[in-house]
Amino acid sequence: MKPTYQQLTHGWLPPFIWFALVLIGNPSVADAVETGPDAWRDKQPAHSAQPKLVLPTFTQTVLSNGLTVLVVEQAQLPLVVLRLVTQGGSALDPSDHHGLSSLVYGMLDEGAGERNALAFSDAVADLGASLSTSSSIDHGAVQISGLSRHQDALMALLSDAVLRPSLAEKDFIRLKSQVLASLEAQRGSPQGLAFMHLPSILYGPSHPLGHPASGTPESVQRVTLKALKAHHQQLLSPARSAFIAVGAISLKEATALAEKHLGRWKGTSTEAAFTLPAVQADPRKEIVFIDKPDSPQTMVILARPLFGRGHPDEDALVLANGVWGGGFASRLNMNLREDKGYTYGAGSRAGFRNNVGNFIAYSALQRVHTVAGLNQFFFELERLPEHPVTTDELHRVKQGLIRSLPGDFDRISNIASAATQIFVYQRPLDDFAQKAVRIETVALDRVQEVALKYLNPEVMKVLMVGDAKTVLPDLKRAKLGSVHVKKP
Amino acid sequence: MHASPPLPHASATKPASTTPDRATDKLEIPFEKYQLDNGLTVILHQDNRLPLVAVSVWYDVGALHERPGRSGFAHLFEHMMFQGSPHVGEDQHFKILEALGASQVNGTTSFDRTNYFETVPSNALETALWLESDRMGFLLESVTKKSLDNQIDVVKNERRQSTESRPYGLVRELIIQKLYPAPHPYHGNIIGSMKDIGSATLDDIREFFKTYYSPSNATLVLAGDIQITTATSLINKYFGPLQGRPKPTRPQPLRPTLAKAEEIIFDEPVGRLPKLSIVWPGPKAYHKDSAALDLLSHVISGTQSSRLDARVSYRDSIAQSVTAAYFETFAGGQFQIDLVVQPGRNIDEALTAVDEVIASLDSQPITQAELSRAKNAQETRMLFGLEQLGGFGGRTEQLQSYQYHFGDPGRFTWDINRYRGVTLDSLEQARRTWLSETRLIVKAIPSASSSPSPHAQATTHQAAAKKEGIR
Repeated sequence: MKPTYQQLTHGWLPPFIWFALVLIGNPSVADAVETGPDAWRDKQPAHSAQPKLVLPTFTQTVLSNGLTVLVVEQAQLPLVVLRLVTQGGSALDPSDHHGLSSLVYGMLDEGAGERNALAFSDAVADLGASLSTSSSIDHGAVQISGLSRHQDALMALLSDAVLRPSLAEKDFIRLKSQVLASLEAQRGSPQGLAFMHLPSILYGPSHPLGHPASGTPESVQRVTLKALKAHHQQLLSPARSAFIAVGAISLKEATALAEKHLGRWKGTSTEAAFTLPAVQADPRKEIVFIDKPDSPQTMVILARPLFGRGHPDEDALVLANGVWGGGFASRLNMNLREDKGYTYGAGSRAGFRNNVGNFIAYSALQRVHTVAGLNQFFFELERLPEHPVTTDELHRVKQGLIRSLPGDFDRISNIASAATQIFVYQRPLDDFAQKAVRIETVALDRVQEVALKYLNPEVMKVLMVGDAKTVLPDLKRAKLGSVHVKKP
Repeated sequence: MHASPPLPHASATKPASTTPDRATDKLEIPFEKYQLDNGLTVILHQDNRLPLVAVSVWYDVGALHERPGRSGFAHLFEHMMFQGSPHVGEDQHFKILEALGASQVNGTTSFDRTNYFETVPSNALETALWLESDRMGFLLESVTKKSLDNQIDVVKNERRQSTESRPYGLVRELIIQKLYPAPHPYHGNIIGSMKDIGSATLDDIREFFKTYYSPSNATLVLAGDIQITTATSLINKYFGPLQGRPKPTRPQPLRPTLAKAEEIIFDEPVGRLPKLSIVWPGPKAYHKDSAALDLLSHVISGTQSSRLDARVSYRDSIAQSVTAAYFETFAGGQFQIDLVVQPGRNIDEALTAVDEVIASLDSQPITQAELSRAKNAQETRMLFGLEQLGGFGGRTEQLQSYQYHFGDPGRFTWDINRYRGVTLDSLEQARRTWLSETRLIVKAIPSASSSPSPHAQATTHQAAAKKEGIR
């Protein structure tokens, strides 16, 4: 099975657990006990000095062929994650071949080196390891994880996939058919539909990020094996790649492994450093509505493009987002879930990539409350000038971001993802430590200024997926702007 | 059955790694365990490498304890536990924890138990204990009709989101309903029916809390940067004074059975591709055949070269996705194959292919190499499961789970050995015992997207084409 497409296809979740994601209600009733034997409990315990932030130590070297080697040694368990990351991803898809990069990555473990697809899969399984390939909008990766004492054998399989994929016709035909089926499956899910349409709404259809990474049925159908082979040569090159090793492995061991298995890799890509064109946020002209007949909820997304990673407004905007929609206790979720009960949850995030970023706010709203809920998104944006970010809100979000950092690195796969970010966005090795220091010092008025500048209702694109026949009449009556109904 | 064509991988005789993996020989999660006078069980696991403590509280109550007319209640109650207890105050739980830098703050309800957890910087342990002890001891003093009504709306939306508008979400529910007919407590599939969710009253909340949320019915686990003596005295301070009530007995409902093989055609309102599910009722958790059934699921599916994937994905391109899995709970288990059919292919063709693969286990027995792969993968998975202190998984949850099932948190090595001990014979014996012809087949066929009547479909539409003696 191909983890690249598992995102779309892996239908089964353990049926045993329902997540709470629970929040607190608004009205106050909480003064039942003032005196008596339990009165001492009224006061939150004081806490001792904050422990030092313990963050992973990222170490790096560069091989003579330009390949970066990025290592975090974590020896507590005899495990290792090895990952080869390359900048690019679907942003490098040719305009008539959207989804091509994703197909290239999908083919890398369909037979490699001396092994056909089944033998390759067996070789991974013999080690009790798992190998996956993935392709996002601005990078792609091949990863293998397993026991550290197998590191050389794991690395041999990883380098086979990267350097010597079979790219055989029959595997290509099979993969293509599976990808087309997965695109069809994705259209069944409201979120799946939304994320197929969001890229072009956010960035415009001609921007390198303006299409879904997996492409469309039409564009995938057009891909030939010849085109795929040519793109494979363009896409993967040592100068745009990093070998990331995390776990019970040292920089020295990882460098030796990289030299042995990837040291003779000569890329053919002649392209310069990977960059993306910036995107301006235009005023919203319409609401895009995708019909999902009979859906009991309406997926609502507000989104705008932003600046990229490293911009001077980044930290302040991350904090503003935390207050507005970023966590359980954010304004948006408290309103839509805990006050109104329109939804199981609402949130927002601000993400930054190479030169481009985005802000996305989302919720699945009960169908009958779709328009009322949409109005609350705008209400929360519009009241920011009169109800600025408070000291308490900012304190909470700042501390939450900074002091939860060590917990973000409790799995070696998470550390490998952090290393991926450092490499793909060309950040310093102590980026997380620097970020903690910077965030601590962002002033309240800076956060408010940036909130007003970017959380601007006028430029928020609106995308909805729901039951057109019941929701559209309400939506049109609400006069929030013209509604463009698109085919799913 | 007719013989199936040879599988592509059956000729590949490459042996699995000949040295058995023994990386995990010495791994146990060290712990100290004791009980307070009020019956609260405490388990402490010290690991001072990172300045973090994972806090986990399990209550011995889940869907298992539900009664007819109140399906989904254990889960709804879990939501109420976040509504604010009297000394902490409403609106405070998440705000306080976020401001302290907590991560993984949540709660979940399963078929068997309810849990609450947070991971905090180690200097904030006392605050986490203050929060957990306050809701354990005093929740009822601050529960209101208004907050109950709000959470009923929220949980109904959770049901819409996770069951009714997720592709095949209603199939999942239907399978549980068929395996566990009413009045079995699992019948409501944890989330419960809209009607039952909406029927919950404040009196239900009070009675449920008094019965099941006693310290005697709970286990507190701390894992991470603690000192045992300090942690013990903090736990005494916050939990020691809480009133103990008798521990309720855990219900012992029967494991699932099917009287006869059954096939259901389901009108799927959300997903766009047909989906085939084949379900065999299984034994209760940690039955002597459990590990074998788990490994069998990995022989059948999970990698490109496993039996079923090699046939339906690799050779025939029938499947958009395919999985085999063994799930078990306190009161039962299920071995399940799910296959989403590619456009242009037929669900009956998919069923035939699955049947041929299952039948091929007779004509081409599972090899030592296949078993070794499944075992190696399982061992690696268990090892990766120890990375996290707590949260949705990790060491707190492993200790809790062993405590729940055995009254003994120290079962990790025993658990690994359970898998190591599976032989080709025991695998074969488990397969013949449990993968019988008495099974449930659900064929989810997407309704026409223009279908006019949503709610006729949302209630389980069981125009059952019943077939007996399927194979």
